[in-house]
Amino acid sequence: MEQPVRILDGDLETLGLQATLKMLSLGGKTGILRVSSGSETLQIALKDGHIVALEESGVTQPDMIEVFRLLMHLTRQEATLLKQQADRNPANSLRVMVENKVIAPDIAQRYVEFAIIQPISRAIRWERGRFEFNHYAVPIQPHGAFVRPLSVDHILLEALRIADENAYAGPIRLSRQAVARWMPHFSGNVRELGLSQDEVNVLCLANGQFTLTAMSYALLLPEVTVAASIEKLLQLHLIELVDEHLEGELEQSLMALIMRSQYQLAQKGRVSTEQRMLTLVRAMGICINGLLTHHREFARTLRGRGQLPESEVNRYLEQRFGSVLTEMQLQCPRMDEIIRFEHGTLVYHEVEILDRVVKGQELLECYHDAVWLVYHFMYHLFSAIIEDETGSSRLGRQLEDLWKSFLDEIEGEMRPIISNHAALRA
Amino acid sequence: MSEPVVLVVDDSPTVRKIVQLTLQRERIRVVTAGDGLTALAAVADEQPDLILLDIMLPRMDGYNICQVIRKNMAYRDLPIIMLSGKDGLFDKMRGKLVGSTEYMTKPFDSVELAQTVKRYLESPAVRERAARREMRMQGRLRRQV
Repeated sequence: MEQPVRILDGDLETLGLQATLKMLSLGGKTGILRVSSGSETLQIALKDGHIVALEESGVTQPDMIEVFRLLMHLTRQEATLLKQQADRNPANSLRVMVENKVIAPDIAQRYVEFAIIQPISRAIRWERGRFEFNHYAVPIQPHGAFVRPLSVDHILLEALRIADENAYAGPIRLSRQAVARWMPHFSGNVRELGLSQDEVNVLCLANGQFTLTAMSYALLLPEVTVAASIEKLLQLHLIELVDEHLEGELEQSLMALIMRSQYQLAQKGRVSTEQRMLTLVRAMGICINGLLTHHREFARTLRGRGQLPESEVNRYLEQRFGSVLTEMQLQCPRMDEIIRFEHGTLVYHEVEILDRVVKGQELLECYHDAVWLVYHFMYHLFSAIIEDETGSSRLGRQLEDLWKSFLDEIEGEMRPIISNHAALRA
Repeated sequence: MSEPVVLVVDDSPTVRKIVQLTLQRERIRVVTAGDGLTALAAVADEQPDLILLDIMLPRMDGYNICQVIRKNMAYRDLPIIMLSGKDGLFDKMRGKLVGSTEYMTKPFDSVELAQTVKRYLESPAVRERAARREMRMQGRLRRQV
């Protein structure tokens, strides 16, 4: 591997990006220009004085196959096939789409140009920061052979035009990393809202995966335009903005809970039907209380309100889920008072001492009711929590999928118990 | 270089899915098997870079699978992490004796799991294996073309 040689460095105050790029272009240089200001960094790859690639710190380009699917230019099946061809690597998406004639090479070139022009249009206004140019014989060229090297003059002219337009439009209120997501409870007709094509496209991409920057690239629209569309969609309550950090924590919390509950469920040996039913009640009870604890932290209604008094959180949980449990108890009155909702948690431990007061067939009936009740309450609780916390996002679907696997395992355990119970009744 | 491949062997679909979600986020391709014999077939077909192996499995337990894999010279360096609900010294020792690389106790923390897997995937032996697999794949593709 060839070692880079630093041939130029300095302050942006002395030599701005525009002048630096122009100088490297005139010298026909090959290598990587690194420009940084504050927390932002750009790496611009040049080959013989032409720009061939750009990397921006903290920015990931969206998978264009997924973008085209969301914009309904590709069916799900077509998208899956193309993703396989791209080795599920978004960096290969444009190449694969060109090879499969989904887009013309010129369109792919426009995406590449856009990905270079947009960041340069911001960096061109940086007044403080550092730059350095390292000479390499062979710079990075991530998009493959279809990309034509870009003239520095052309890029600079376009970047300056966009920079002027952005300055005229004023600063963007939203963060460039803001992620928009569809609201879970929109019941109106989107067609009647008089949205422009750009706004419709932004709405199509608002599935909780793409940042504002990624949408701008995907739609070849300036970030200001995308930000304005997002603002309008927010006002119409069609989307919400997502805090990725919160979602990460939420996902971790639920995955850890499901893992612990599965572990509880797997604690079996050669045990009797009664003990098996008790293990199930215990595993599901732990899971329910885990879900309630999780929801204390992540419930949409409780978010952003700081530390709330315990009693207020308990009241919220009881209002939201207590009545559901009461309704379910109507179907198995034996469990009335034995399984109950208290201080925002499910109290089920009295099921474990039922054998002191009931025996034989009646005890089995009681256990059966307990399993039924706890299972249905847990089922309802998870669906309600996931809908509230994640809406119809990709994370929500992933967690539902994971939850389904866990429920399948529980149902697998419940099946012999239910058939035994039916046989005994018969 | 293509993404690394991890084989997850566990009879619980929930555990398989949790591991899959955790590792896919790290750009690791995950293949899964629910029992011992399917796991052995997957080792031959997918040539994984690392195996996460549960002990209690239908058809063939984790210790036996580990032993069979280690008998093949091609897989002597392949990292095998035992995942088990058993936390006893005896089980850990038994895992070591059959050739496992590391032992993790369930219920595990997904962040810790991802870190451990990544640590092994970054080792030179694993990188070499991935490069060999990529060359084989390219050769296969070239023959097909």
